[in-house]
Amino acid sequence: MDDARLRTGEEPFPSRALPIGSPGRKSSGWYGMMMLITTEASLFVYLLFSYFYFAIWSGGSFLPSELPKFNLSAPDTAILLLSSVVVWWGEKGARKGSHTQLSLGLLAGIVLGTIFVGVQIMEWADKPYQLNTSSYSSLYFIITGFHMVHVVVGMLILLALLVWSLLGYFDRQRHAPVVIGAIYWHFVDAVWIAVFFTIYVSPHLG
Amino acid sequence: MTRSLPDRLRVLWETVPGFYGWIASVDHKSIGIRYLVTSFIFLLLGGLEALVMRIQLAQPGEHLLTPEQYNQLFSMHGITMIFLYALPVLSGFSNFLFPLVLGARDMAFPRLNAFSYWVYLASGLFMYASFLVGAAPDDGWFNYAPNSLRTFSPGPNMDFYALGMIFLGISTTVGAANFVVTVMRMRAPGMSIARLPILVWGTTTVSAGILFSVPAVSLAFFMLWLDRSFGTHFFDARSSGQPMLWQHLFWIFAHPWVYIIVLPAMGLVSDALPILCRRPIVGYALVVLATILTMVLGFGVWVHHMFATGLPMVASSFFSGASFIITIPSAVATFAWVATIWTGRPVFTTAFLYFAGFIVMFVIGGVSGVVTAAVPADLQLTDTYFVVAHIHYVLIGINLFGVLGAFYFWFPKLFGRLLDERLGRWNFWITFIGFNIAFLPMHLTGLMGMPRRIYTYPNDFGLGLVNMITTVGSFLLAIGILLFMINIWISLRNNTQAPDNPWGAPTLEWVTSSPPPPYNFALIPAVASRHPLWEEQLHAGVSHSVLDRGFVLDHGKEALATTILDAEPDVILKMPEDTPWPFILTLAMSAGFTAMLIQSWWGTGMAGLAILVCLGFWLWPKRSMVQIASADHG
Amino acid sequence: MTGQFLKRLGAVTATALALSPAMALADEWVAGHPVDGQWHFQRSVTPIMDAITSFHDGVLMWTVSLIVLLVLALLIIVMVRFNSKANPVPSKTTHNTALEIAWTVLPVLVLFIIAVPSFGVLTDQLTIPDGVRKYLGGDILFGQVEVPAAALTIKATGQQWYWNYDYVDDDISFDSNIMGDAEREEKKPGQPRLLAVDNELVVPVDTTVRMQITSDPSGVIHAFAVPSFGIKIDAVPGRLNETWFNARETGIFYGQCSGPVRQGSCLHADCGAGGDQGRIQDLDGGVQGGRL
Repeated sequence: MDDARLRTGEEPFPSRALPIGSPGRKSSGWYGMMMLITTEASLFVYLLFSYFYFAIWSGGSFLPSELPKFNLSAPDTAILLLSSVVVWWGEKGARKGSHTQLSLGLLAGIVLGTIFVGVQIMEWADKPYQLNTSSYSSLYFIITGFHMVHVVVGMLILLALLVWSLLGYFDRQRHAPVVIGAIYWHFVDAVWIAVFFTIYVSPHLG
Repeated sequence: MTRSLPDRLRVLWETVPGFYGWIASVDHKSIGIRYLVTSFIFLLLGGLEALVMRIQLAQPGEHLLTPEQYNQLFSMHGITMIFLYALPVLSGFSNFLFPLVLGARDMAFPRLNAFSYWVYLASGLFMYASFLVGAAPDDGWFNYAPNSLRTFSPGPNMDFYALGMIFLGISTTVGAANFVVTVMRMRAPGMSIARLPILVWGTTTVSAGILFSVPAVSLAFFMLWLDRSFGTHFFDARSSGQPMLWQHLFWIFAHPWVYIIVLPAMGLVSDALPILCRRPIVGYALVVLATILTMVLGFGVWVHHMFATGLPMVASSFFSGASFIITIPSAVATFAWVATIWTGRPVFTTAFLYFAGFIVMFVIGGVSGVVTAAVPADLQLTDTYFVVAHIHYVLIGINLFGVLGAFYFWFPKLFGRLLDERLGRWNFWITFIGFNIAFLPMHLTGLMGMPRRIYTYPNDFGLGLVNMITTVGSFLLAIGILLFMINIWISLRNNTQAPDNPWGAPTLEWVTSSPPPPYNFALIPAVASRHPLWEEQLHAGVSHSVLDRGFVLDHGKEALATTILDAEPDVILKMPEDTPWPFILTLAMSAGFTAMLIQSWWGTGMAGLAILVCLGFWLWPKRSMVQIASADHG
Repeated sequence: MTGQFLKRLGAVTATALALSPAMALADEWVAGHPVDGQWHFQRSVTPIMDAITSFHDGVLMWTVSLIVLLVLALLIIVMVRFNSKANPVPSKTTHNTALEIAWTVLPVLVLFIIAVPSFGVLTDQLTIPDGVRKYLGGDILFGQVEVPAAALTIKATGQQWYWNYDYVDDDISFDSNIMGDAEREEKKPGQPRLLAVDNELVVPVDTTVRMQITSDPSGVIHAFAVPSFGIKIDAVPGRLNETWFNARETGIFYGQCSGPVRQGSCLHADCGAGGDQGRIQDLDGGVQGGRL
């Protein structure tokens, strides 16, 4: 049938059957997601730049008397990392064509993400300061808040993927949206490591 | 299957006429033209603002404007020219030309492309709506805190600017992502990266720059908005905020931005100028390298806008040194253009004149840049009219002159009509002379010490004459632009069809008709050199681009994706149909930003939900676009 | 010794107001502002401004003008000699390594020529004199100008819209407001509108003055600038910036707020709060500084 695709003469390139659509990583969407991640990563670089700018200029005096603690944040970090692992496992299922594994992985990712958000909200509620209390509190809430928004967006993506998976849109050959959505979720988790180090670890290093 | 291939493709690709087609079209050519027209309207608005200011400044002590009106005018002039004209006009050219020079049928993300335009238009209208309530931004385009905080600026002026810039940033970002992915994926077979036209290099480089720099300014404006609306303490020095953080975040974005709005124009010139000299550009690799190097170095010089803020010596020296170095790639590009003319056979069309004028003004703007990179001189000149003269030489010289030349050059491809050459010459000379009369004496105004952004100045200081000359020149410049519009109007009314390749150019956009059909190329060309149409003269017997046969791709809206480096055929892509969702999503976002402006959180929430619904409709997978691993679907 | 200075200065400041008509005279012979027919920097009265003027008028102007003329000449020559009539067969050369290296190295050399004196002058500007270090002055390559150690420190605080000056070693502090048209006509008719202020900053001639510049913490960013002295530095809330000058001539020297503030309003003559102006004047052996 491919011959019908050429009007005259032979194909200028070695003739082979080209895939149609965007299976796997070859989809344009995957490249698009890479662009989104690039620019979002830059956003977090500037957020953390602002934090360290304050930290350096104030000589540490901008930190609150009670430094951020690990009792909630450390387990929360573990939960978020675990969510990356289960989503990765689900994605592996998609490659094998297993709807069950994919759906389970996505569902587990959403549940763990929800727990992360819940714990984070508890931590916010515990703070003795609010958004407009001081420069530190403004930075604390804007950085963790931006990350929280990304987690929520990531969960919405996982939710959409779960619905599409249950509706049978994906199979072994075509699951580009799963790959694209999963990479975003991994990005959100990776950013948390940087946020965690900046907000929770770096004050204890000084 | 009795209809001819072009007819079948036309049915598949053509946008339906009427209102629905108008809001739903994802054709990169109509989106490109919309970008060009809209940005040109913003250019005219910004120009009118400038003329009003020049009347105010023509003589000492005039009272045409109040200081507050003057503040709003110079702020909106800067915002309009830098954000709403300079990049969008280049995006217009890139949108129109990318698929054509790459031998593709459309951009990688046609719907995102439409979305990018609608958001640009909506954010421009959003910022201009501030005039309707008499509260336009009034702290200059760089909007220094703490002067832009609620304490000193209680009105909604800064909220319009802050939210408008975040809104516009979305358009800029998705547009940039689209250009990068298009270059990675949508090139004709054989168009390896060493065969890319320089305009593609220019736009792709700055698109990468946009992805890294725009978040800085979006964040800065978001923080400013939080400071203003929720009493956070980012920039407010009274409660340990850091006013200087604003300057850092702003210039980390805005210095790369001034390269972002000139490098694509340099790319347009680097491609078109050699064609008018009947030869390939001298030093292709050097010019490409210079483009990339300028962008990369552009991220390392932001502090040179802050020399007077009291920096440590090591910082002053480092950023001064970096600012010297960044002129070297520009010098290299300039020599490449001159050498191209030198070794070529130039034909003096209007476009050529614009490009030659571009080179001269680029050099003047470049050396006045060196003057300000030298900190001792800069400390005298910063915030004076010298800097105003410098930025206008750079932006009008490189951007506007490059763009006007590009209009004369690509107009036949855009609209299928040639612009009149005789009127064009008048247009060029009046614009060129008017511009130089307006801005050359402005260097002196700055040397004499006149600060920028003052709404009037004292008598008897010898500032009256230079300012009057500048005002006269600016009106001459405006007449030049008027002639340009008259030329366009006459050409569009004229019924003479332009030839497909009026300049005898070598690149793919000239293979197809003027203007191109909705599907661009009936057969996807395969290229074997940088100059597919000049191979007989340049590479006889060596390279053979194939233009008269190739992939047909007529089983629905299909395009070819190729590999990143060598551009070997990779995948056949199913391209999206026209869709109204980008437009509807933009409406929802406009509602959201308006709700934030009037601080209606209920409205913001509703708009947020609407946005999610729109995205759902947009991204829902379609069974008709199934992806199949191999091409046996007949 | 400094204390003595300042006591005298206090007296001099007071006198400045009383003697204001005399200042109109001073205006005529030292114009500390732009004048009709001027086409370059304002006249220099400090070693730093000597260096800046010499750097700008010498190295910078010559190199940049030559570059512009060179490219312009090249363009005109090639357009005349190599147009399509004169040169029907374009060369196909796409690159020439020797030439490409030449046109990359050339700009580097030019920049080097500019950068060396530039960094020298910059170092002078940013180093407060200690009495030992030599300064470049007008000879920006080999200059060895002696500048005495700073004998006087003045803190200038930008307010909306006036300057507050504080002689920090003494207890003298006062505000300096721009004068509206009516007040100026009445008190200092010889002085320029939009620049004249009520209380000038007064400083001694031939003395090194350390200026500390800041802004009211609850205010906005201003800039302290006196073109004839070669100083311009931002006044940022929460930051203390430093610069210095040593003026050799007496007179009234004006500066204008160059900061990124709402200048349209702060310079408005009808604006009641006054404006940001700087000026320096001389009286009785003392240079009097203005405010910005």
